Amino acid sequence: MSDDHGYGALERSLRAALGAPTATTGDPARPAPDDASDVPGGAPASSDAPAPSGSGVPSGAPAPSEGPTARAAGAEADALAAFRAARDAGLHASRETRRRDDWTPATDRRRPRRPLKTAVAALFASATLGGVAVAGGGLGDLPGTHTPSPEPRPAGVLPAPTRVPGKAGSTSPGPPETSTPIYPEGHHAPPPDAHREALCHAFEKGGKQGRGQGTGKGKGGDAVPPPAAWRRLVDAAGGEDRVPAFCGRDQRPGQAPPAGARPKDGTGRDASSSDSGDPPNGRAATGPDGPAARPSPPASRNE
Amino acid sequence: MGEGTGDAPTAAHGRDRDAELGAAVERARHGDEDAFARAYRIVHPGLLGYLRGIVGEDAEDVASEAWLEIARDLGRFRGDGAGFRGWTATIARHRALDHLRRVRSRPRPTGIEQDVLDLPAQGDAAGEALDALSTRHALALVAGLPRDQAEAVLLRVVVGLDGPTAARVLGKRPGAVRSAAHRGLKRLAKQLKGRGR
Repeated sequence: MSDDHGYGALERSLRAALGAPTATTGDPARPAPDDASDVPGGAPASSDAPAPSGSGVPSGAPAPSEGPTARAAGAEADALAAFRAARDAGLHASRETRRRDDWTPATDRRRPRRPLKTAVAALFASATLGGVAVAGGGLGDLPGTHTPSPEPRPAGVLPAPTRVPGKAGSTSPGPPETSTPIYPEGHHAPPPDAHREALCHAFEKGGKQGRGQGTGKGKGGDAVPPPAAWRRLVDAAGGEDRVPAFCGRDQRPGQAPPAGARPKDGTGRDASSSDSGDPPNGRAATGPDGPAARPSPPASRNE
Repeated sequence: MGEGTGDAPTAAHGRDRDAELGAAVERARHGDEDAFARAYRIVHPGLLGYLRGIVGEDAEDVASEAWLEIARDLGRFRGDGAGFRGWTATIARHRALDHLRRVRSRPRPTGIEQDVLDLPAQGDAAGEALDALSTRHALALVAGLPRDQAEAVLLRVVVGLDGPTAARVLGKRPGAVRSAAHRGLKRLAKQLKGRGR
């Protein structure tokens, strides 16, 4: 933009006209500020306290309104007074550097990109861990944990979930009140849908850990001791054969990814009928990761 | 620095000044009042020129406000001389924008625009007009620019910021600031020439 563009003269003129005002630069006759009461720390917090002369300039002390030079000198004196006041009040040592105060050069100036990367990573992590948190948070409220001896509910009392929509309407998404008749005994708080979701999630997680370790690829899942989550799920469902109905078919419109994925690949059926570790294992691995991993590559590419 | 703030000698001079400024600021941060005065004298002219370009006659008041804040917050600052220019320019700019918000309601006497009309009535060549460019004329010219161009020109030419620093002050991308400054200078030069001929 300089001389190679032919604006060098213009820049010089602008700089001379605007950037070098007559008064301040190297002004030798900087008058001492008026009423210089020599109390440096008297009122340190007020930034415009009258200032003692800092450099012992003989006092001419014209009023700031007398002319541009005097006014500029007054402005400088005010700035110096503010400096002294802040320094004596300890402000210069005590206040922390905010981001906007950090002008360290060159490489650090690129820093604004790092938080973006961090934000993307945090978003990814929260999306990934979110499913775990839902499952883990649900564990504390599982019905099985509240009852010392989980007795299997009478099968006849537990309606198949397909019957629940029939009661509340054929397309009922299963709000909490419709799930009430599932637990007629009433000594459990009827788990709302979120709890049931958590139960099924927890089972899938438990199946991943317990069964995956035991049997590797997971043939012959019956040899593996059923994990606690599985027991709770069976307990909540009222029997192993009820698990697929308990977990599988429950379509809720609000939760498209889990509700849509589960009936499709028939997790519940696999978990119950074959009782092998594989299908829950696979689902547990792909379930939380699938939605989270997909948005992340574009995000990092954007960055 | 040299990438756009002036011709070579000025850029070198500016670097020297920045080194001196950086040292002064460092001393001032540790309580040296004379060093703070030194930094003030180095920085203030450019700051005032920038403020004149955006708030006109109220520039000195706004500059005083800015310096009070600078003096108070000096301990927070981290950086070198060039960074100090950017930091102070940012503070001054915020004060100026506050000021403009305050005065927006009441009409301001516009002597500046009048000057634009009067400017080169007698001029012959652009160079002559440039030589004769008084503060008022320069202000009138800059005031005729769109705001983004005016600020870019002022920050880079008058305050002496480099491209990335000016961009940070303005909260824009360096490329945008560079092109705004270029367009502003081009427009100023065209105006000067056009009026001169």
